[in-house]
Amino acid sequence: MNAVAWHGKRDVRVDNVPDPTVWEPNEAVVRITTTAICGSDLHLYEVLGMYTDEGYVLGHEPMGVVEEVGPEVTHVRPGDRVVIPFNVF
Amino acid sequence: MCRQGLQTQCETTQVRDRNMGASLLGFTKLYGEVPGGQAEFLRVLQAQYGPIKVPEEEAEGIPDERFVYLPDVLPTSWQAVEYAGIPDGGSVAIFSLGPIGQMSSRIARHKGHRVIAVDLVPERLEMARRHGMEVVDARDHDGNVPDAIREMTDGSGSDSVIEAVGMDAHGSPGAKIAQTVTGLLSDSSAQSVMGKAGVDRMDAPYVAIDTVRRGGTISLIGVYGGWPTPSSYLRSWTSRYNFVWGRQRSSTGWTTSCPCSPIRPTR
Repeated sequence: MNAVAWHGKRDVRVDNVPDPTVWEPNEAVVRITTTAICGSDLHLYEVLGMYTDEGYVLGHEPMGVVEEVGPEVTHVRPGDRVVIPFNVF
Repeated sequence: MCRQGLQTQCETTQVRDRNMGASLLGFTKLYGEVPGGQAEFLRVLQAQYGPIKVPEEEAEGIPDERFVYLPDVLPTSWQAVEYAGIPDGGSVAIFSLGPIGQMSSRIARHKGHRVIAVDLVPERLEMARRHGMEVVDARDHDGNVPDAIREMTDGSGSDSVIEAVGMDAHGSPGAKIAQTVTGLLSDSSAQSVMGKAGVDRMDAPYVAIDTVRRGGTISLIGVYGGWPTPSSYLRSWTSRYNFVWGRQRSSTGWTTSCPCSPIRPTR
């Protein structure tokens, strides 16, 4: 798939990277239909680059359509349109 | 933590080796190094809890643009207003009119508060004015916006302040140099400088503290990454202002509780 990846200060590129898959029973894969760019992405673009490695995929404001769910995911199912909160919990 | 509405401090996804709170999508090793969503596909961790379903029938034919503010910026703005503790009939000064400041302004107006919106970019000021805010153009006040706001509030300052700038403030030349220098160090040296010495550009919280009336509340929603404190203990103690800040409490909770959200609670 194509993804926006960090390569260095003020250097992000669209890379071709492996498609993600469900690893754990409480995970899902979502096909992203729309995603925003945030002011805090600029922190990574400018001052927080020291905390990441080349090739890291950016972005924390996505939404899309569920493609696949693990067996513990019951409140959404493939085909559902979903918003993904930027916090992971 | 989630039962207390403190999802961002989640003990399951907390980044313990960095002493940070819950992981974040697409936000470096500081927050769990979870791959982000500017991609064609996203692996969603903790998907038994996180994803919020867009209601099918009500949202049929409504484009994504109506919902894409919900992963972060709209609930963040909602929290900024909640944390500001604006009293009934009270006033709030909002510093910086980027997306968070604009949304916070409209939410505060929606809740019936007086909004004084501050920026120095004409287009941003015009947008706020168009939506009914009183605006202050920082360029007109020679660096003394707090005096201008005191004049508009019978000399006392606004009841609340929302600081929506963060560490990117204009006018902090020392910190700007420090941020630039830190960006040139090796990763391990830079992390040490960033975390301990502090390279935040602190103009915005200083101005917020100078603006709020005694006993008022500052809601600081901007992002900070360094170490310094924004106020002397003396000023904090004598003015008895409240300072409410920190990572968004619960994007899931705010998303479904915010009445301006197109998504209603489903669980």
